[in-house]
Amino acid sequence: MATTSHGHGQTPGLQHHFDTPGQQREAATLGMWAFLTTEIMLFGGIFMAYTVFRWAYPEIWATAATHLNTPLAAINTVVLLVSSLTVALAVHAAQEGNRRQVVTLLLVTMVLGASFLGIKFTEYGEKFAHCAGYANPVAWMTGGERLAEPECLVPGTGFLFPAEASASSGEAAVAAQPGMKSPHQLFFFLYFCATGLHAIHMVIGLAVVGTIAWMASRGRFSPEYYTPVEIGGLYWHLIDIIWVFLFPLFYLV
Amino acid sequence: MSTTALPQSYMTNRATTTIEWIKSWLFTVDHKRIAILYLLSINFYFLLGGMAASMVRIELVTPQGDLMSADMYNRMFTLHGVIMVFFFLIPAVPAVLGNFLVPLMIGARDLAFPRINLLSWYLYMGGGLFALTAAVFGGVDTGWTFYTPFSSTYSNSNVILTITGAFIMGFSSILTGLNFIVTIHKMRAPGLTWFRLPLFIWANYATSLIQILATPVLGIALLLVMVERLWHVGIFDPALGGDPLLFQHLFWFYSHPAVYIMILPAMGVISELISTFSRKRVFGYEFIAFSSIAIAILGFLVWGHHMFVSSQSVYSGLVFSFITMLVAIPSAIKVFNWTATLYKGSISYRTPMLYALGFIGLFIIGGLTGIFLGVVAVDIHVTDTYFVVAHFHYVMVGGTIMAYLGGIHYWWPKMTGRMYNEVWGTISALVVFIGFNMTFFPQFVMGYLGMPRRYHVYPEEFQIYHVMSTAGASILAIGFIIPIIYLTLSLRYGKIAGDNPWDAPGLEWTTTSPPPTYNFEQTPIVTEEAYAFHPEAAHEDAENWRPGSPL
Amino acid sequence: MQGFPFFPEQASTFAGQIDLLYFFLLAVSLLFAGVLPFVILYLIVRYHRSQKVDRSNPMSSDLRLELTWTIIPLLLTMVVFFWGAFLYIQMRTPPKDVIDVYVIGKQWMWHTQHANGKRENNELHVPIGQSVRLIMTSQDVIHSFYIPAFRVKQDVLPGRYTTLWFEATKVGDYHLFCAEYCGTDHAVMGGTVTVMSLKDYQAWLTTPGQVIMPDGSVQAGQVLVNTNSVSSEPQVGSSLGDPMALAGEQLFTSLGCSGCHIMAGGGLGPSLKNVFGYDQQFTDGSTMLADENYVRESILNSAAKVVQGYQPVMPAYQGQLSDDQVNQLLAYVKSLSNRGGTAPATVPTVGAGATSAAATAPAGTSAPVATSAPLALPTATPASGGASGGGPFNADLAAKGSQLFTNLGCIGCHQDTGVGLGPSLKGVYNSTVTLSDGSTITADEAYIHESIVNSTAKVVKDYNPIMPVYGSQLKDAEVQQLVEYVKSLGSAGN
Repeated sequence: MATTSHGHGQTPGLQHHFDTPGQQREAATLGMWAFLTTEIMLFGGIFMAYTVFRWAYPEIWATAATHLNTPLAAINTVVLLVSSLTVALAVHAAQEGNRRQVVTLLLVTMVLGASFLGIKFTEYGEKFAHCAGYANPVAWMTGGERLAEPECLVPGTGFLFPAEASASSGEAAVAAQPGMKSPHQLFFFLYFCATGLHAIHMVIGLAVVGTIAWMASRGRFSPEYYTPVEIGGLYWHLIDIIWVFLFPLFYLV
Repeated sequence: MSTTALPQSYMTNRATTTIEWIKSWLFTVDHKRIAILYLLSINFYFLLGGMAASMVRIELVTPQGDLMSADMYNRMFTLHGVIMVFFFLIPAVPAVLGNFLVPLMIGARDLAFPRINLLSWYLYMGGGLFALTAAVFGGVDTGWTFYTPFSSTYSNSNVILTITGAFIMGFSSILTGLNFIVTIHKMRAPGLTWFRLPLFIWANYATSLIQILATPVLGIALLLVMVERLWHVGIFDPALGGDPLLFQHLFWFYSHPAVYIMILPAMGVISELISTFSRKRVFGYEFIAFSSIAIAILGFLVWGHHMFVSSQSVYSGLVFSFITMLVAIPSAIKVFNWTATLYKGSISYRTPMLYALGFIGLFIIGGLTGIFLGVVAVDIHVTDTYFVVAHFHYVMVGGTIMAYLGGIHYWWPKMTGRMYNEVWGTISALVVFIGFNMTFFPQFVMGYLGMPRRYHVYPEEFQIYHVMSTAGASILAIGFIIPIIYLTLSLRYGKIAGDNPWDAPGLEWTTTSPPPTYNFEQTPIVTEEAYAFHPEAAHEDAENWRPGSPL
Repeated sequence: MQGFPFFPEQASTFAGQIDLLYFFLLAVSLLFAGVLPFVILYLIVRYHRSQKVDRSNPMSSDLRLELTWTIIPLLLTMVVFFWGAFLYIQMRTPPKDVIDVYVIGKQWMWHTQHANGKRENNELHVPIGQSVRLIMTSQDVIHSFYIPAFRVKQDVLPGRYTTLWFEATKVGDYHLFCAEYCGTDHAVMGGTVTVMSLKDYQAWLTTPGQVIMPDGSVQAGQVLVNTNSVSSEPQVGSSLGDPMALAGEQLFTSLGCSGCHIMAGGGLGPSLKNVFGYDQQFTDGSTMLADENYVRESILNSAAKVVQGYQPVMPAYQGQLSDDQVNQLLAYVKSLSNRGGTAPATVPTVGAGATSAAATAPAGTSAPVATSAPLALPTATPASGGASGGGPFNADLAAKGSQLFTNLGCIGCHQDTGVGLGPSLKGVYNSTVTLSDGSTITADEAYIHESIVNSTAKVVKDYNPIMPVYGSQLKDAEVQQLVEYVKSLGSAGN
């Protein structure tokens, strides 16, 4: 593209096949919206699976959800909502051409996004530590406190849902259902799938925001041209919105 | 063998070394060059899928499994299905003709996102590579539908590799659709309002909507199958607590609209061809345009008609059946409008027109048998038999491939700047039409008699129909090989076509053949509706015809 | 079926109706596919560029035309839709009095079991003129049960039941196919559906045979006497004389289900009396009709839906019961409900005087009251008591045997007068018996034992091999009791 010029080389960032910066910006924004639709349909498949199984096993869903760490997830929700605000502010700052503010706000967003992933990581770590027989991830690494009652919520052959295990001591002599035979693992499978896919999007989002922050710090944007900030912000909002759906569906059944 | 040289164009080779020349193609962001890359790779996959089909048909000549083992046969028809559906039919018209023509037809210099366009092609090739690898290392035996729990638990073949291939190809398809939507919305030439757009653009727009809305659902369904296979998580296998029908729902939520991904752009091509070779504006332009959108929308609501016998409830069966009946209407509207376009036209029997007429003939049969399948009570008997096989081949091969070939012939002079041999073109169109009917018509009879699909051995009473079908298939194969030969030869020996050999309206014919890299010297300004034939155009054309002129 | 068959045979009540709709569709299609191409051909010839014809005032749009070709196809599709819908509802609504047959699909065979316990592989025998309902499940992948001559097809899914019903109208053998691709040998997963006259069907149903079980073990087909003769009054619910239900009951007891599901109520689990076919209310307040799939889910994964007033304490039997066993439990649960469907007493009666073997099973023969149905081949041979010369017998056992002899209905055929369908057993023990192949044998203990557990092995001259094979229905101890009883007949009389 560098080899071509159609007489509008002066406008920064304008590609050869667009006539005006306005056209290019609109195209980029529309493209992003179309992409977001695709993303929503991608998660839609998981939501569909969720609906089918929740309908099939309503009680299992209710009991399984109580074994997720709702406080951590609630903190994460707040973290993400705040990050959405900072992104929105960054777009506004870009509109006004305030370079320093854009960079600062985007960096704050990245810190918030990273802490979201950190908390998510802790939550996952807890589940895996339980499978290994330890009370928490730290104990797992240091060989510390053991888990009092066996529990493993990571789908796989070691899967063990504690409610069933405790019931086994009861009169009815209920056989605990280790491994894959229990429908409880479907809940946790969907949980890991949905939040995992969301986390992957989060990582991509961090890379996108990081790139935009770097571009901003190099002074690539101006009040006339800040499309990347805008569409990057859109993407970040999408990640946020998906989480806003995931949180009640999995943690607050 | 013209002495005049072709003008400077997107094809012109500025490279001085072979490496540079290869790079100039592999790193191009020009939509026309990318279309050519697609043309070559898609035709390669078509030949591959065709070879698998030949093996299947040869095996079926006798009722015993004497040519291949059961496993070999299962891998063959799966290879045929996966390659043809995911790597030929879905991308064929949009990725080749759409890529080449959408910017040209709307007066744009390129698609909105040229680099994403190139990325689409690489994703397509990457997906294809996975599918090929899977085939080379033993193949896959699930059928192209990957039904669970067979695919997720029981099959011992390369399911994961193949699914990865289809998954990656899906992203290629999404990005193409996204590019078209943005391009059609934002890049139209000044004055080119929505109702001045050629119907090919409308069709591609409807297709793109399906691509971006439905493909991700297939993506997630395939991803879940992969996860279930790798970690034995019971999402689809009831032995592990899952639901095998969930996969069918997710799969057909994509794959039924995918049928329209294949046929809608083909219908767009037919509208162009019928108009040009009748020298008339398409009859009922708005109705054809909106019927495309109607098909795209209704297409999302009928996936359950693939599952009438899968144990869905009576109510859902009836609802899906009802909406399926409604989809028939916009398709019928198109056929009637094309027919009405011929009235008082000045019709010429050039190769693209022959393909277009063939398309209409086959599509009538394919569409009508679709109604048979939409009526639940009849579907119960004929689903999963050769009746279904025949039906979707009439729609997909008779529809999509006829339109694809017709479109290739029609825009060949624009793409390459040269004409092909008209006599051989006529022969090929006739051979394909005859061979196709011989291959697939007997399958309707066989299907109603109860011959189930995907059988490599079968009761003897069906043999006569299988023999007829295989005989037809060999004719069909010849019909597909002929154009490859004369089109290739035309690149060197063909006559120089000139800018507008068909004397057609449409922005793509106003630029040189082949077009320059940036399509138009000046951004065109549109002041007329599409198919702006003069009211007397048909009359004048007939007046000017003299014995010896092309028929 | 030589030459060019165009339409498959019509062998069920649906076939004619579906073909009629098919012909209507064909006729409508011909209207379009036959006429439209000729219109197109006419137009392309008449308006070919070489033709000098009137081309003035070409239209490019006409609303009336558009509406015409929108509305007419719409009306036509609505006609076929409602017609098809009507037929479809009929096909999915089985009548009340149906013969239930349980079908298990697996890679790559069909296994069917009739209510009286008779099993078949890759075959299905059905009577003409009777509604038959198939209750089907799969052990592995999705299959599809397809009988082209009946125009019926239904996918068979793992983990749940699907049903299919039909009424055959023509005696003969028809193709049975698997229509849903299921792996390597999909193409040979099928067999024959045999439609028989009532008489032949009944004879067939009561004839023993060997069957390979879904788990691969070989079992003698369970054969029972004519079950319809028991009930003089109309029966609701399967009777306990129905061997599938019976096997289910035994399973129910041996698994310990009866410890919680006390029929009178008051157990840890709900009573199962009149559960099937009734709405159940669950702890979350929702209700659902207890159908086949509900019973299945409640057995395999009880926690999914817990009945109101009860705790989710029942173990999940997923993976611990075979589909075959779940079928038997289901048959038992159905037999406990007055909505469990009609008894297998619907096995049609054949008029007295018929010569068919089964038909001559004497009236008054009660269903066997076998108390055990071991699923394996009988292997144990009775400990020979060193009997000789009409030797001694255990009077205690013989008394029990006598009781059993009456209860099982043996007495109906083996009449002392010698006019029964089976030989008189008086004085048989240690006598010399002439068999149907002309050979002779001494009726020792081993012979008597064999004749009970596998009567067809050696058939007495002048008699037909119609006696049920009791090997899988009697405990060894019970066989021993019967042997002692027969011994008592032999030695006491002479």
